[in-house]
Amino acid sequence: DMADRHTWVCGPETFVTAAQETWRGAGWKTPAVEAFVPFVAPTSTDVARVGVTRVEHRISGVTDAREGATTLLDRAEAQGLSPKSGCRMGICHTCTCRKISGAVKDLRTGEISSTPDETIQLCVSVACSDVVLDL
Amino acid sequence: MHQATDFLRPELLESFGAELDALRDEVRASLGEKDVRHIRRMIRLSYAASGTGRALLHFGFDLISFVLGTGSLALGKILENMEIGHNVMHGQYDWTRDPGLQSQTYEWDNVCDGDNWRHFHNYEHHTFTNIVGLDRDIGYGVIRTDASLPWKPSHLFQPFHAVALALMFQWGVAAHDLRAEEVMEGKSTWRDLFRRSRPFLRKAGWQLAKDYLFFPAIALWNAPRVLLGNLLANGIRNLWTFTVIFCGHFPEGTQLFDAPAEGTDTRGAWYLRQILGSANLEGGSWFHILTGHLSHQIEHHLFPDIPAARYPEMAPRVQEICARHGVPYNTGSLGAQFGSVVKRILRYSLPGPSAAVPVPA
Repeated sequence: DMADRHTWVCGPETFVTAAQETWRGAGWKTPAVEAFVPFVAPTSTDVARVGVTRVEHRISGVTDAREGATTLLDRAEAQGLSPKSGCRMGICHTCTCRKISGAVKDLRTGEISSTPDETIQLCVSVACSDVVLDL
Repeated sequence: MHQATDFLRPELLESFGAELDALRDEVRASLGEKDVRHIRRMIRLSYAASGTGRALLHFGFDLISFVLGTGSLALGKILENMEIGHNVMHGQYDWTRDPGLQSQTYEWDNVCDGDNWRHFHNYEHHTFTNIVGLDRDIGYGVIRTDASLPWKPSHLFQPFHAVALALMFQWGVAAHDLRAEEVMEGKSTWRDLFRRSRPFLRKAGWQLAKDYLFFPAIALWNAPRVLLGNLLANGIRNLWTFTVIFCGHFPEGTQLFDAPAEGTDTRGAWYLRQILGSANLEGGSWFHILTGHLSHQIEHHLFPDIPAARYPEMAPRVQEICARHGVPYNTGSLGAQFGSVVKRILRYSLPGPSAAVPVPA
């Protein structure tokens, strides 16, 4: 009698997303989700379908709004910022930066991460939702 | 000079890159507790070795405790520089979110400043590996390592330069990012050089004070013994790291390259250049640890931010991918590889090209 049951889900983001999809697919009541910190789900896992994303650079107060697969490093530089960078191919870790919130895709692995307060490499990261950077 | 892509049939380049990407992603997805346990064990071991060494030097009176103390301190420094420092600064453990293991803030027990190192090693050396004119690690600017490099009269003295560099290796490394040669070439001024040197001078000052003022001073009447022990331990670390590092890119068979044309440095081409420019050392697991796994220079250059302790399990997979694609894989014993480096340093101190290494058909 799963269809009659109420469900509460709490846990790692991938677990919660998987549970939500399973419930949605089976037509059961939408589970109630608990999270310590609100996470921003990606608008779409296909970057081409995400639409315009706003990247807010919290320290410098500058925001970049555009659609497409421009890396976060290129977007920061387009706004006149000069974050530390190096190889621009994801191996040297010079461009590591704290992402305060938002979903980003790693261009090397295809992985999407919405974890808040996460360290990312700007040169291989593309926004899949609105993003706030500690930059 | 060659392009890396001269060594592989073009139709194989894409699958070569994809297979190595897949191997990297597979290992990256499996990182976890085992890797954290390893690096924490190495850190405990390094502290134990250094602590024991310093205590033996500080409290002992005889030659045996001096030798053991110096050796133990050298071992601690070698582990800290190679298996811990170099690997942590590469970002291999950034994913742990442990503030003591973050690449951008880690400082190692070496006169070389961490930011300088991250700049010229992580970025410049690993991106432009073995590209003449871009990779300043080729011969460290003073040693002619290949027939294709132009000969200068100063190269006659390069065997002596090599020995001096080996004894003082941490100083050579520390000064590398200062680009002092630019002052000689008129591209930079002495004032600029001094300004660039401030992080190096600060770090070196701290290290000198630690090893040659503080630790001797607290040993009171044992100060001369502690000072000498620290000096020798640093020297032993220098000689070992020089040997391992020179075996990484200079043995017979390693290739130098021209800069690739715009847009041609694809994933596969970049991986190929890393393999052809690097060489491995064979040995047991403790040998690998003492080299900081730079015995797996090929795997390190393919996957610089994968924890180095994983390289031994990745090596057979890399060898298999190379074998199937007809890409040579340079490996040998420490004696053989270092012997070939010594031969090349001597050979290329004299003018004249030798027979160029032929490009495989």
